[in-house]
Amino acid sequence: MKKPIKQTLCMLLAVFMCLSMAACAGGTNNDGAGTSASPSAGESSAAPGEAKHVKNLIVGTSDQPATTSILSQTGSLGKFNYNSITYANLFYPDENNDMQPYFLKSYSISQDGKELEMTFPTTAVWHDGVPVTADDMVFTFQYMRDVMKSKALRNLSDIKVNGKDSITLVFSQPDAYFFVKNATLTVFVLPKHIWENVTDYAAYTGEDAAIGCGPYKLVKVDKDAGTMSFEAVPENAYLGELTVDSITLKSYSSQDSLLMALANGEIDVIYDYAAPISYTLLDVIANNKNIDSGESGYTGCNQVTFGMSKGPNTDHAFREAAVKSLDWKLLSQLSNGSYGEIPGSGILPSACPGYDASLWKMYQDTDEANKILDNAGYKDTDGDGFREMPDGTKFTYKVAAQYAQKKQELLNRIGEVLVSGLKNIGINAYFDQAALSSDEANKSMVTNNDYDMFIGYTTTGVATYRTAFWYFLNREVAGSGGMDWGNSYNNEELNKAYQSLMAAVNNDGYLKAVGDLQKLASKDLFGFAVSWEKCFFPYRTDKYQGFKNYPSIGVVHAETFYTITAK
Amino acid sequence: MLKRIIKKSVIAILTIYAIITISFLMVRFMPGDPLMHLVGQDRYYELLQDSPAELERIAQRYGLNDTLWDQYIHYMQSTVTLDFGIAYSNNQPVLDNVLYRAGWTLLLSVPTFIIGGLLGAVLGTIAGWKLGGTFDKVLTPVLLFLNTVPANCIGILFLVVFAFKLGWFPVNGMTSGGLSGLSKTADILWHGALPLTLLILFRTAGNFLLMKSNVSQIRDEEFITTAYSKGLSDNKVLFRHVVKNATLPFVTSLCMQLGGLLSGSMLIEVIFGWKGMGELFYSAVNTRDFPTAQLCFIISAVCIVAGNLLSDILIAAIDPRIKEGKFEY
Repeated sequence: MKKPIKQTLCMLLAVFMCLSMAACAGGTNNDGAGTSASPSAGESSAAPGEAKHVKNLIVGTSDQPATTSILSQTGSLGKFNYNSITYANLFYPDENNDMQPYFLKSYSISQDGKELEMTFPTTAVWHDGVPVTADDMVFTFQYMRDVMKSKALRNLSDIKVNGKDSITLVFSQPDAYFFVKNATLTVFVLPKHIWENVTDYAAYTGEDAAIGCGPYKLVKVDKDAGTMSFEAVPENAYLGELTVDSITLKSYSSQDSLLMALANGEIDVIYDYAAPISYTLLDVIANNKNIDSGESGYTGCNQVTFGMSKGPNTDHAFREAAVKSLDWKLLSQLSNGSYGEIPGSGILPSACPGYDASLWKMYQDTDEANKILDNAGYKDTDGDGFREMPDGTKFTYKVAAQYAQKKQELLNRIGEVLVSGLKNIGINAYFDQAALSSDEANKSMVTNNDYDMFIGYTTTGVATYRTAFWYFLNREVAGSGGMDWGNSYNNEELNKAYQSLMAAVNNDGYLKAVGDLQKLASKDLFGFAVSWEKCFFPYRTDKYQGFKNYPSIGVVHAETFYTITAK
Repeated sequence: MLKRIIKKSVIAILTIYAIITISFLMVRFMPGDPLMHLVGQDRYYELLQDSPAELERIAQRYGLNDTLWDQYIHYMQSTVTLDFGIAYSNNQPVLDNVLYRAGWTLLLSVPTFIIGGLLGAVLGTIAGWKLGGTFDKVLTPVLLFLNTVPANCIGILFLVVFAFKLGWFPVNGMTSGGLSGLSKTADILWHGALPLTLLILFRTAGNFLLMKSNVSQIRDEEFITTAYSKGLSDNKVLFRHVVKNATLPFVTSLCMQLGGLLSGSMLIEVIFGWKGMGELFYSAVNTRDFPTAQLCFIISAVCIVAGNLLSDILIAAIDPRIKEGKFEY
């Protein structure tokens, strides 16, 4: 290559590296709204003597616009609606994850847990102007039970109309508490005049499918801009005065661009259901004094299930040695960096209701693990470097992971760390990637109990009520809720404890069951959490105040639109 | 020549048929349960546990439980009648979704094709004609660099520097929303500036290197020496003999680029949140939206086959050796 060409290439590389460094440098160019070339985020307004309303709150999400139907959970609106936007949830979880009435004025559960009496407002209106009536309430529960096949209503035997503002649901089983706890995201009132003739609710795309009785009415969908606009409906302000006059929901292609938009003031707050911002992206907003990272304890977790039906896992001593062989510091950092916490033996993270802090925490002690295996008779008798079973038979130890497209890399890394730890104590472990990359292989492996350790994860939605223990149940246990990734551990004590949780008729009963399950996990070691994590839902703090950061949920939830005000 | 065109057309049609069949098989062997994306993850698990019959009903409605052969027959019938079904992602007709997205992709790809083609041809000709000159020495490394570094790498770099750090451009999307008329047009141009600039740079770089190579090779041919020996000026030699001959492979390349008009900017669209065909294809594959992924694949493939066919026809028309049947191109 001629010299001038070399020089030019060198200069180009230098420019490229400078640009790269500029791109990677901490801090942002713009920590105030409205100073960038991009459109500034929401504005505020106030009449004298009253709280300054937020004129337009701009919420960013990485979900893309799909349908506008209130009966769709997909797309940006489907997820955003979990916060009671165009529809009105009957209940919402408060800061402590206790269920509070939202659309309802009040509710009460009978002593036997079979009746749920609800009172509701008579002033609410559908977004097409039709009043919400008791007929709509009755229709809602019938439709959910008969057409939508809602599990929470499968034992609903009668609906009593007590008056124009009250009905009672009568269950044949003590399901009332279960119904309330499960109603968090997906139970809301349906307009009878729209849905009574619709049987294929999932496919219905009529314009009136967007009509609900939520506090905000969908007024515009800008397909080109990927935005949806909502305006407040004062008649449907169920928690007091709505302090946000309008909302714009704007979609971004990735969490990276979401964070950049937040930093540049294009949006006010991020809402990504069950998808907190990765800790690896926090550098983007690290030095921005106008952005709060929205850090909170995460109720979900990655977890490992032991294959309990065969092989060495049937021996408690082996399981104990296995967990003590693992590099817990590394495991806790894999998914959450320095924010990760070594988990306790009770599996549930501290952010979960009923968390038991008294249970022992995981730790690595290879010497102790080796000693446990030696004492239990797992010795390397043929000198190949791997231990045999106490009866001298050789065995291999399969570690596998759940099929999860978005978490493949993380689960893969977790698998490698598990294998490494197990090999350190002479267990012939290997990571089988088949299930990780194929849903079919995943189902086959779990159905046939063809694994020794299986890595999965609990989302916040499941953690809220069903808890991570849902994933540890044997799928063949009737009514257990065991799924395709269910455990092979068919243990009476575990099944009973979980059934107690499902059958709880009040908070005390529920929390006791949660406590019992954690103690059982700590004692039996049928599985373990890989790490406990923090999650991040960043938001701007320079224009609005009154945000409440709920653990695992962030600052966008049902209460947000009644509490935030302009500064 | 007509016989040749007919032969090429038949091959193109057979290729398209094979592509349609392959697309059918390909999406059905992708991992993941499409039902999960149809009803949403939470709802899917709830139904799986509580009401498998309801899931079955939904699967039935979308034909997911039919035999592969039945699905294939139905699929071919639908393809012929341009009925590509309903997109899983938004319950809208797939064709409507794709046509909408195609418009936005063309907004980027047509200017890229024209400007990148012209710039590449002109700059490449100059650099190739004055090989080793200052112009060549400065421009070749720059465009070689752009042609070599992956688009996603430069794309992210541009995004972070010019949109995030400097704040000159929006970080994402095609328009800010709430605008109409001229202000919306200006807003779209502002949003499209970065991705368009990048695409033009990449396209110019590729075309530049090709044209430069062609011109620099032809200028050393013996018939160029003959032309000079006849007393022709530099300009006449360049335009009458060099450019004319260098254009043949360039036209082939342009036709191939024409085939990629609807699919050639996937990475850039994804990075800049440009809701075009590339982004649609990408998200359709990610969400197992079979009907959408199939149509995207078919359109991309058909465009490329059509581009090839066009290239064959044009070359046959331009090159007298092929026109007269003396040379099989």
